[in-house]
Parts: sequence; structure tokens; C-alpha cells
Amino acid sequence: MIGNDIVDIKKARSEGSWKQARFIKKIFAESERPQIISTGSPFLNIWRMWSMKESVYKVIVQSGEERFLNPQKLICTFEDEKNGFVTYNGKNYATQTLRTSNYIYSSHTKDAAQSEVINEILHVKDPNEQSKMTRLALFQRVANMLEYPLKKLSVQKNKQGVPKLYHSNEPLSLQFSLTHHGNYGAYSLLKELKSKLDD
Amino acid sequence: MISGLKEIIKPYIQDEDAFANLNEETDFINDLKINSANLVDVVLDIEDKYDIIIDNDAMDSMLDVKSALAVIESKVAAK
Repeated sequence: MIGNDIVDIKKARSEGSWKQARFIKKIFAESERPQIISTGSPFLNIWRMWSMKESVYKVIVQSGEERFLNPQKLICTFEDEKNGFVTYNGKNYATQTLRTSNYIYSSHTKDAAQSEVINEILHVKDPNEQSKMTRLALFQRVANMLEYPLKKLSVQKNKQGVPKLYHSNEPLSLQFSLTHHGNYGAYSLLKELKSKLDD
Repeated sequence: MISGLKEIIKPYIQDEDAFANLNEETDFINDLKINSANLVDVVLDIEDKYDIIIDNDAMDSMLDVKSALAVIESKVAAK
């Protein structure tokens, strides 16, 4: 399984609520608050932690747990600029974060050793098209990879809101995650390595 | 109370049709496409409007209209 999350830095900055102590208190457990001011920009640390939480949360929901709105249940720890982990119910989930001047992107991969991770981040001119364009980019990649016609691919969400890929209404077992925010969208796709097929 | 809630969530919705048809079963994320960071803003705005404090345990369930209304009702009643 894989989960990802992107934060458009410009959009996050324009929405002022991150500056409010109340917002911070809803999202971050007391134990992780010192990390906000530990190094570099508090603004960037806040949104890095947010994206780490979201990427791990997506995998938790994919694995069948009920959805919840309670970011404090997911506790972030930074290891370095890129690597970190999120602790949830006593278990640690490794995350990787990529930051540019435009966005912060985090992902968590379960069973990373057995798969190759494909990430693609795209700039979307019209924020209203973010979901559509991100899906299209995913379809293009999958169509190339599996030699399916692009038009036969679709995404449907299950009851939990987890998106699944379909080819001509047949579900595909591909593991992926979609995210978009402001002018950015991204997908992560797990390509299982050949040796896995021998199991 | 549902109209009060509707007013609060309006700035954050990304699906106008779902918003126009809003009812108790409407899901904030799956139907209204509210992004999750904004969902926290919705909770803060609810606290302001109804002068209540929503702790994390109560917030946990607030993913759809029905659950949000239930939390507001119980917190307002407890004032």
C-alpha cells in the first residue's frame, strides 16, 4: 500500500489558519509541538508534518480501518530533511518528504522493499481541474505500463473513500494514492517487483 | 441547525452540486470534496459560531453532516 499528500505552499500560506494556536492545538499533540520551532521555518515544519500525517493516514484507511478526523493520533518525528516517521497506535510508519519552493510532498510506502515506487508531481494551472488532471496523469502512466487503452481506465471510490483503479469496469490490483492541493497534484504508484510474483 | 452548518462549510466546498443537495447523509470529503486541512477549519468555525469547544474525541467522527450535527447538538446542550 502507498499513501501520499501534497501541500501547495502558496495556497497554504494564503489560508491563515495555520498561524492560529487553536489550529495547531487541534492538529499536533503536545509532544510534537516543539518540533514546529525546532529547525527552519515553523510554517514549513507545520505543513511537512501535516503531509506526513496525511500520507500515513491514507494507508491506515486503505488497510480497512474506519476513517477518523483526529490528526493528533498520528505523531510525527523528523529524522532529517527528507526522512521521518509517524507513530500511530504504537507503530512507526516511515515517511519521505520532498520540499521545493512550491510544494511539500510526503509519501509512505508499506512493504517498500518489494516494490518500486513511481511518483509524479504535476503543476495544474486551474485548481478546479486538479483532481481530473491528476487522475489523467495516473491513467497515462498505467496505460503505458500495462498497455491498456487510456479510455478504458477509470477510478471509483469505495465506501471509505479509497480510490480503486478499474479497467473496463474490472478492478485492478494496482496500489496507488492520489493527492492534490491548490495548483499541484500527484500520484504514487507501486510497481511490484518481479520476484514478488514467485511467492 | 443544518442551515447554520451549511453556511459554515460553504467557503470550503469543492462540489457545488453536492452542496446544493446537502442533507444529513452528505459526506464532507467524499461528497463535498472539502480538503482535510479545511475540515479542521470547519471545526474551528463551528466552535466560534456555537460558542462550544470540540475536543479531539468529538472531532474524531465529524466527517459527515449527520455526525457534525450530533456533536454540535450535544455540545450546545451541555453548555
